[in-house]
Amino acid sequence: MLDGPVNFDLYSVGIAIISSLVLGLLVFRQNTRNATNRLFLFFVLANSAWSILNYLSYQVVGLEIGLWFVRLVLTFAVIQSYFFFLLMHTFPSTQLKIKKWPFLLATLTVLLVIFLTLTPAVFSEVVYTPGVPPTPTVAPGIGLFALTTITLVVSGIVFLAKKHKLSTGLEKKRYRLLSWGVISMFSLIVVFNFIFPVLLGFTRLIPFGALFTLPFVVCTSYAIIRHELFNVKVIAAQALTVVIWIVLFSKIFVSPSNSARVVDLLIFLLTVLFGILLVRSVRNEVEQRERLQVLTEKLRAIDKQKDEFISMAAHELRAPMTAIKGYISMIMEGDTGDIPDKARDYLTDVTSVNDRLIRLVNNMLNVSRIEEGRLVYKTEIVKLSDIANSVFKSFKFEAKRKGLEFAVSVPENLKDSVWVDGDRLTEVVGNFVSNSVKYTESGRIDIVITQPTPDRIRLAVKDTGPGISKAEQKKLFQKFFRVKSTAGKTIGTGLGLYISKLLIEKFNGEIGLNSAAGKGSEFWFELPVTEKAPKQAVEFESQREDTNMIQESDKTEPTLPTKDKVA
Amino acid sequence: MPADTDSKTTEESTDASAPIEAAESSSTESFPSADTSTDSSKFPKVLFIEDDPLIVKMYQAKFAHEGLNVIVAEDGVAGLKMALSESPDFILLDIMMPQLSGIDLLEKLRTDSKGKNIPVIVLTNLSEKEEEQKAMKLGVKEYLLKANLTPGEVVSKIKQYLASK
Repeated sequence: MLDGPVNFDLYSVGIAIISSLVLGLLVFRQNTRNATNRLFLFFVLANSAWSILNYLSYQVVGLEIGLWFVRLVLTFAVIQSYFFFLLMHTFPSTQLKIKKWPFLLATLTVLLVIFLTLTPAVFSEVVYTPGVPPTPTVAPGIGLFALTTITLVVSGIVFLAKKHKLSTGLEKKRYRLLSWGVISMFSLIVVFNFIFPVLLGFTRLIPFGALFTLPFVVCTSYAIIRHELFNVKVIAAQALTVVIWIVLFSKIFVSPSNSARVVDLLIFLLTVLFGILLVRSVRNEVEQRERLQVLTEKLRAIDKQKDEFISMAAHELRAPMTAIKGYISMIMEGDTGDIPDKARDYLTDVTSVNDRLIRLVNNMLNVSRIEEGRLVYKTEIVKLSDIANSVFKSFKFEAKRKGLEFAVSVPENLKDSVWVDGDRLTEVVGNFVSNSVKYTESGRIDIVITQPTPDRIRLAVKDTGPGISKAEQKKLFQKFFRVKSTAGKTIGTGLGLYISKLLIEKFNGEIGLNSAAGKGSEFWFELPVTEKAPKQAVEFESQREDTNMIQESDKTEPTLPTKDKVA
Repeated sequence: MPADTDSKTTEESTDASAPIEAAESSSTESFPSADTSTDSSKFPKVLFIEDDPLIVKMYQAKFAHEGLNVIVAEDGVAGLKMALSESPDFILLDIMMPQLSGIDLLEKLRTDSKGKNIPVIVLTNLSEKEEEQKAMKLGVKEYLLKANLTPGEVVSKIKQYLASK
């Protein structure tokens, strides 16, 4: 073993060269047919040759061989830049990605320069002065050499920069890594091979060329091989592990004694084992996390799609239903003249069926939104009696058609202001009444408002229908549950009561059912009485203020008494 | 909320003739009846912007019957043009339209001095709270779902707003 500074130089350069070669071979082995992998190997080979010659040219101080070493340094420098240029153009494709003419031009020029460097046209001789590194005497050919090398390098860098800018996602990560490698390499080369020597006269590090190109080799090999998994954590873990391996491995060679050497060897082997396990576990963790992210993104996209679909479907379905509702209302309002009673009857039925369709579409839209918590409520102060009256009006004729007595009963002096979304609450009451009308064959239906305590208001819809057994009552407010009607009717989607429950509970109320088989049903809900809007009013609130008043007066008919009975 | 079909009657009645009288009486309440003036400019002009021809036909029939002077635009671009050139007293606006959506139209309308103060009701089948809030911010009187109202109810709302101007 040699001692002193020479040892260190050889040592570090040797390791750098060996590492580069190993990486080059690994990359080539991964895919021998791929142009990128091949070009990388060629680059590494040229680079290694250059590194060795570069180092040797500073060690040999004899005239003849020395001159050849110095010349060959340039030869391999231009070969390196040639493969660098091609590699930057081609990465990461499997085929050579350069047009015919530029390729021919570059190749021919490089061949010419290679030839020239081997002649006195570039370096005519070398001057050796003790204490100063070998100084070659330049000849005119150096111009062409410099021009070619610089053009190739710059063009390669420009190309890389362009591709980096245009890429996205995973590809962009690979280009970023490449760029880091290139930047490190050229910074080191420029600083230690040009700036330091020229400005500071510091030429000590010129022979270490191999070390300067190492970052580039490492980054590029990683970018080529690991094209799926690209994560800083993994790279760091692997890099650190490899560095530790290299250090421990080389330590073996500088052990003071054989017994120490054995220990060092043992440590090295254990570290290799440990390193492999560690890196593997890091890889797994990172892979899993990335998989999770991908899945989450997919889920989010599907969710959004579902939303959009439901919204679109609701919108499309509503259009024809609007037309049906509109035209029938116009006929009923007499726009086409007198209509026979029987026609009016049938049209009333059609209207209520169509309204059920509309409610159905609204319900399906709402269920999906309520469940996701996406439903936005227009909460405001509403009078429960107004809602009761408006629902009464809506179902008046349907009930009459079925021969049922129908009444709404609102006591005087009622404190019935509630803080709810008026439209939604109207749907709930409408849902109760619609159920009663559906399932009650004879008798009566009553909407009854009572005040059990001064701060609670209660609305109940009682009917003389078939009633609901205790067993079915338990499941009633569930999604998609429908009571088995004795008449074998299958109406509704089973969503109405489910939505009603969700809504009432959202407004801090209670909902329930009193019933027994054969004894009729009473669907009820209770809400807290709220005179004034709570302090944390929704921003939306203030904009609706004036429209509120108009809506309220809309609901109240001027001649509607507080007690109303169907004749 | 699906509404009763003859909401205008104030009494329980299956008499077929009653609705017609009620309709007529409400339309003569605050507007000059047809015989007091042949000048159609006295009738309020409503701009109806809607791309579905079936809906347009239906509402046009109702408007005519109720004594409202109606002009129709079948897409957003034409609608905006007419809103600014025809000085309507009221605008009924659909949201889902090709080329220029109702909301975009509204934004453009409100930046023009001629369009700033025209009362607008949005009449749509799109129940998206986001669109509704945008519309309310742009100063519409109401955001209504077509499927929940009859043409008659829409007309009476328009008349209410015009009367309260």
